[in-house]
Amino acid sequence: MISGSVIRSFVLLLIFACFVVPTARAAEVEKLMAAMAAVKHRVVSYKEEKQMEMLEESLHSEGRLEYIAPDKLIRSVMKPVEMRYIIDSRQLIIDKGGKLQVRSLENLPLVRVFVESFRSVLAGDLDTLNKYYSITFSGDPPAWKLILQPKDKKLAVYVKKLELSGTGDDVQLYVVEDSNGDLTRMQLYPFDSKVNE
Amino acid sequence: MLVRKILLIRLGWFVLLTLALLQVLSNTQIQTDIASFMPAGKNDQQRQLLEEIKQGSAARLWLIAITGEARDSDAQQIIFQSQKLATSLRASGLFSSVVNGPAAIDDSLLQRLFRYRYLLDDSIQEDSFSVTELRRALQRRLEEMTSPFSSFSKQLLVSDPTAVMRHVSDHLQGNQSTLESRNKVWYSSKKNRALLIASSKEPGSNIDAQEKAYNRILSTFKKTRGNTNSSLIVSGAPLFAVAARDSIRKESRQLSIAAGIFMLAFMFLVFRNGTLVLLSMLPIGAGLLIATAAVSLLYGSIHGITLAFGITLLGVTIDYPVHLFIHAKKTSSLQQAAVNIWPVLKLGVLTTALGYGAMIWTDFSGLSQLGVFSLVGLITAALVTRTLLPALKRDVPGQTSVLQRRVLSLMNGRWKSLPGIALLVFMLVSLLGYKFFLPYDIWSRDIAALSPVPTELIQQDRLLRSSLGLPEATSLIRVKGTDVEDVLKKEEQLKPVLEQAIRKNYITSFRSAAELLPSIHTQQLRQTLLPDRETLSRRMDDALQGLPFRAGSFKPFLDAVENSKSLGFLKPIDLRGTIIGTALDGLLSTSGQGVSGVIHLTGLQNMDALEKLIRAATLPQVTFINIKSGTNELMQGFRQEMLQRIAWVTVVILLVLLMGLKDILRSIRVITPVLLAVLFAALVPLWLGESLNLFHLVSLLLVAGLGLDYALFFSSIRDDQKNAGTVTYSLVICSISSLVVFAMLAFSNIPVLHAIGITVASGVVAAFVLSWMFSGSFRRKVKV
Repeated sequence: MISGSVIRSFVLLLIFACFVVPTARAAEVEKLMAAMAAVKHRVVSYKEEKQMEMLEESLHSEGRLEYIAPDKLIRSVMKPVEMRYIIDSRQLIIDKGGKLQVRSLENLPLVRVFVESFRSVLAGDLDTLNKYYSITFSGDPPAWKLILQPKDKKLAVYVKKLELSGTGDDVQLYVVEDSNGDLTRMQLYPFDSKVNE
Repeated sequence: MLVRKILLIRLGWFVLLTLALLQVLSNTQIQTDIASFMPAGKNDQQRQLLEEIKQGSAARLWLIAITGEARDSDAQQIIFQSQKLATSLRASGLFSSVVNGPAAIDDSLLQRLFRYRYLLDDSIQEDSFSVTELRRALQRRLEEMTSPFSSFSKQLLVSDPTAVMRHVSDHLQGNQSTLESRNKVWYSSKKNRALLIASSKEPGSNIDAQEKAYNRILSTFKKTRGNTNSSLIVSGAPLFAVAARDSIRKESRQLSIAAGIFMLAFMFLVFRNGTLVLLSMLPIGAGLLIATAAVSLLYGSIHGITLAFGITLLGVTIDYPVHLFIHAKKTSSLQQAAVNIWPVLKLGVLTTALGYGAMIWTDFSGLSQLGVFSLVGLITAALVTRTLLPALKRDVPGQTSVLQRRVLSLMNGRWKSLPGIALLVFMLVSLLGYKFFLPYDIWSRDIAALSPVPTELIQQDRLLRSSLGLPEATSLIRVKGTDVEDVLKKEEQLKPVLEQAIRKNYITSFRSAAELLPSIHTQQLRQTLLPDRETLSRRMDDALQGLPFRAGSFKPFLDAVENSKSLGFLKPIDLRGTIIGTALDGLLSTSGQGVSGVIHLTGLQNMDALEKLIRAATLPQVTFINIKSGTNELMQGFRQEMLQRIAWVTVVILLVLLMGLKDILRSIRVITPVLLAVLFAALVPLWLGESLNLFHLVSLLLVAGLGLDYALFFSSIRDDQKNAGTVTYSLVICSISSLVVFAMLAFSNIPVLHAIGITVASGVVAAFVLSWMFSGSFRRKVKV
């Protein structure tokens, strides 16, 4: 039998873990967010690898990512096919060879929350990030790593956790782990025009 | 006259008027529903058009906007107000629907649609499940995996690799999602404005109901608004109807008060006797009362428009007591004067009654009421003048007034033929130089030009309509059938025609019930296109060759197709209560004769070409309804009928004159100035740049009525030279009073009132001047 005092100390430890650790790191998260917020426009190249249960081999793609503060994200896939995803706070536009599909985010609540995992980090919008995700910060400045777990139960059905890591105000890696274990790893580089030709 | 006879006449009229008053007060309903004023329609297309005007959805649609000040901070406030307004309006029971945001398909409906996706998919082809097509679809899905949202889309992939569900839901939601929304409320942050659409339960032609709905919108908003500074914009066809009626009512009331005051003052100036002034109002008053009672007895109710026009047409009867009193000054006995003027008056009344009565046998129910009304009113007023007035007052102070002498000496001036000649020259020049002076359409084609709705309101409506992406209100397609299935099948047959119209840019899109729910026939056909499980499984294996998908991943797809083959068909009843069910209710209506479907058109560019295209398809029971041109055609047909009838009536009037006057030359002398006056009254508005419409036409009837009286009285001078002064003077008084009253109307901003005013005022001038000139005694001096 486990004695009462052991349980008590375990509970205390849990409470400590819940309150003290996050507050200790809160200042660093805020600092990171402030640094991110200062960058109003980014253009980077990316390479992405998807490992999926339904696929026998992983899927590779690459392209360019653009962010315009406060809410516009443009993902231009260059390989294997050209496609563009333009998203802001209102709508998602999918551009496939000039053929546009416009979708209101009002009808895609999950996508909206999902996009916040990336957008609110770039925008340094800690309030929004906190609203939708529980945040765990690690790493030694200037290197950093954020692990985001969806608070939204509907989103949690699809996505287990997200990881963003980088140095200073640069995001270098964005990993999405789906609830079935599928993994998406997106590596971000300084904009390289060669990749995009 | 014997005292007993006098009492009998008084008693008789008293009883008659009391009965009429009772009928009017107890049993007379004034109809304001414009639809009941409309003609019945001669063919099926006309009847459908009228049905559309009376019952159609466009006429019930309210557009509502709530705006805040131009900053985003009170966005929540505006959205909240939109939600609250929508909820209260829904609860009011006055609206069949109130929509304030995008119709999102909820999860339970989504699941149902997902299950039925292969029966709902209108893109299905013979080869949709061939190896080539399956492989193409799988490759495309693989490409789409590069999307940032593959976490969500991959689950759908295994059960729907051909992305049928995406096609189905895109198709169902149409172009609605382009409208900006927040918290499921249509809201534009740029304009800080929320939008709502409400549809009245009652048809648009029921203006009372629309007014009630409008007041409810205003009062509800006032409550929801509280002390915030948001404001409300309301627009839509029902508002126009309410606004039009209000402005006509208001202005007619003001004008009739002004005209009444003028008439009383003028009569007092002429007769200098209060009793006579009051008595002079008796014939028209009794005429109105008995005419109203008669119409309500015959038709069960009287239309507001009939009443308004009827009062206008009975304006001619104001002249009867004037003639009587002025003649009585000379004879100093009212009874004697009545006997003296009766032959002339009788002929005038008879001929005018023929003109007015021409309207009775039209299938335009409002105008046939008007015919009865004016006929009864006219005869009543004449009989009151002949019998009741002499029974109420014995004599009139017998003196020729200073006014009379002045007027008559003026009329003996050297210039007296000038106005007549000027009028004739004017008409001659107008007719000869017709092409030059009147380069536009004589007949008004556009019924909307009659609308007193301010252009700002129409502008605002257009803006709201386009920001809401609403279909055109001017035209639609009706599809009739025995049941829902029949209508859906017919709409499906029409679909290729409408798709062709989209390719040719005649329209941008259309909305029909068949677009939301395929007919059972079509669902059955689609089932036969689905392969059985084994075939599909084999084909999938072939299609997956060389692609990275793991074997066995697509079992859900095989299950779904197999299940779809034996699925029961989706019927409207299965969708009841869902947003698709609600949309279907708006697009299909059931009546005793079967089911009728409506197809709404958006972005109409070329109405004529579209109409031709649909006609060429020769699909049974499919009708293209062009509300605007259809209404105009209807009016045109009616006008033709009226003109024909007027031509016949002119011949009959001439015959009656011949019998009454027993003199061909004299009859021609009477009818010529009348016809010329009618011509002049038609030319004046044309000169002013106004095309003629129905209201001008009705006014021309009044001109003819007045003109006949003038011409007959002038003509009577020949038989009784002694009376020349009296007759001439009373005609001067009559025409001045009519001229002033109608000139007042001519200055109105409301097209209907203006049309009546300008036509009658110019007709009165011409009728007086020309009847005088054409009368045999024109060259003689009038003895004062």
